[in-house]
Amino acid sequence: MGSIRRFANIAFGLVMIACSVALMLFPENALIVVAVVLGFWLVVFGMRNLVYYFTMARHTVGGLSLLFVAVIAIDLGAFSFTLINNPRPAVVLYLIGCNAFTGFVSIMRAAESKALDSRWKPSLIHGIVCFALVVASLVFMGSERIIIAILCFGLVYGACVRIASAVRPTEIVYIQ
Amino acid sequence: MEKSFHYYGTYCAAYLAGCSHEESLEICYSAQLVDHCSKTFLKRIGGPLSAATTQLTGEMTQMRFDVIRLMNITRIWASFHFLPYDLSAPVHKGGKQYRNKYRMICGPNSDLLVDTVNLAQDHGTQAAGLAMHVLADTWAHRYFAGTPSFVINNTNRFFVELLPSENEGVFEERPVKFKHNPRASDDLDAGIYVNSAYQPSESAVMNLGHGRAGHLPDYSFARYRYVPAWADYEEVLKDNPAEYYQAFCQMVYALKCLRGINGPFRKDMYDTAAVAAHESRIKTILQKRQLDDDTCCDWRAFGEELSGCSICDFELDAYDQEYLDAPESAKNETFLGKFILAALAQKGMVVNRIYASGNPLAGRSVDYDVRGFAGMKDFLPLIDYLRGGGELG
Repeated sequence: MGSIRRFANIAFGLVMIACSVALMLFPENALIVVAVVLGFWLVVFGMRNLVYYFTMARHTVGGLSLLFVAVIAIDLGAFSFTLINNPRPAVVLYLIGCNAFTGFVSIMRAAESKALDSRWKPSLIHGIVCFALVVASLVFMGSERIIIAILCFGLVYGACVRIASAVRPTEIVYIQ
Repeated sequence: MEKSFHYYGTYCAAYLAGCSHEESLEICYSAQLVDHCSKTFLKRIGGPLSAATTQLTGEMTQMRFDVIRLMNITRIWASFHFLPYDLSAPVHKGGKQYRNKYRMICGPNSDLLVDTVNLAQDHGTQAAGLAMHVLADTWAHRYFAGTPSFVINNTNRFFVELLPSENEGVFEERPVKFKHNPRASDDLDAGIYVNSAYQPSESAVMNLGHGRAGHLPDYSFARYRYVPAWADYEEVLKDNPAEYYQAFCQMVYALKCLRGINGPFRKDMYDTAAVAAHESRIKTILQKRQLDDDTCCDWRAFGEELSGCSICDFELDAYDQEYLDAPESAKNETFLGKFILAALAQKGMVVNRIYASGNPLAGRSVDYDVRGFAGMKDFLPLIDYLRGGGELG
């Protein structure tokens, strides 16, 4: 990892932590901010896929599906912007969708790792935590504060992982 | 390639290159060990994790896929299983990112292969075996890249197997059926093979190496036509029996180079003369449609006929105790210690070549002679050993 990418990762991690603190401190408009960020992220994701399709994937077999993924993501992003007046359902749906998908994949990974006699407990725990967050999102759907807390938990976790990765030495040594 | 070729096939090549039975066993053990020296294995013996030459499916399923992990995957698979063919290949489509991926495509007779074999010169049977694994895989894994890439490694439904018919030289075509259950085995009679699932994401691990083509590149008997992702919708024909035979002849030539008989290793050289007497036998083994356990038996019988000695099975823990019992200062003198040093040297060399070509996919490389030591501490034993006056073997 180059020093610029290393610095960018650390800076981005710190911004993520700062955002989660800000969300907890100023919860009044937090869900609106989250809906805007979610929409923005989906549009950026879609645009990146669009660029990826035109620069790389269109040259390859099976690459056309990337064009559809890009268009659908941009469409969903635009849809998220329209929810600013009533952002809670969109944010809750986002939380449930992301965590349910991640939890399902983690538990599948754990099952496969167990079958292969590899480490499986961390994946299982990760999967269980994700499903616990899904349940929490459903149970506390009416409480903005708890929904925001769940979001902040995910943000801080992601930031910590990013910063830890950035400070590890990774250069390979070559001896002539 | 699988155990039959990497272990028993390499034994036969080493013996035909003039190695003794014992040397041949050490070389083929090291060649096969490349497919087993994972992080899990290194943790068990307390070795440096940077010396991993492969990744187990279980390790991959546990992995988060950020930039560092992707670099680590590329370092391992490009250095030991998918040696890039041309790091400065001209690319007339896509952007810089596409160019970097395209240049990672594996192929035989590359400059990197010359560097790989010559790096093993005078460094013992462990380094020789490791180099033979890399050499053999350049034939089996050609057209695929040792980095996750949808635009390079993806395949589609146009995948046809060529089956020998009753008339010699005439082949019948049969569409290949793929399924994605990693715990299922291939059905050679029905033409059903296990491959990785379609995942339209550039860096998904499903798009690593020949995962999308299943085990077909690893079967010596397989002949097939397919449309590689990188080839502008042009078909490619892969004739494994013919290419595996070339790989075998090149291994004999390379091992003679390492023994100081042929001088430094050069590209496009094959010791067909040394193999000629056994050509028919070897081609029969290579063309037989069977799973690897049966192919192992055939290679083993051939090897035992050649040397007149019994070839023991590959046991992963054969040298564990020696390494575990050795004091820290003497670990580099053990069989596994020498293999680990050879693996670190190979990885350091390949990553350096990729990095020096301006390609960031394998991460940064620090040239010790230019900048001194920086980076991963796992490489310190290699520096101590080489700069301490010792050699690897």
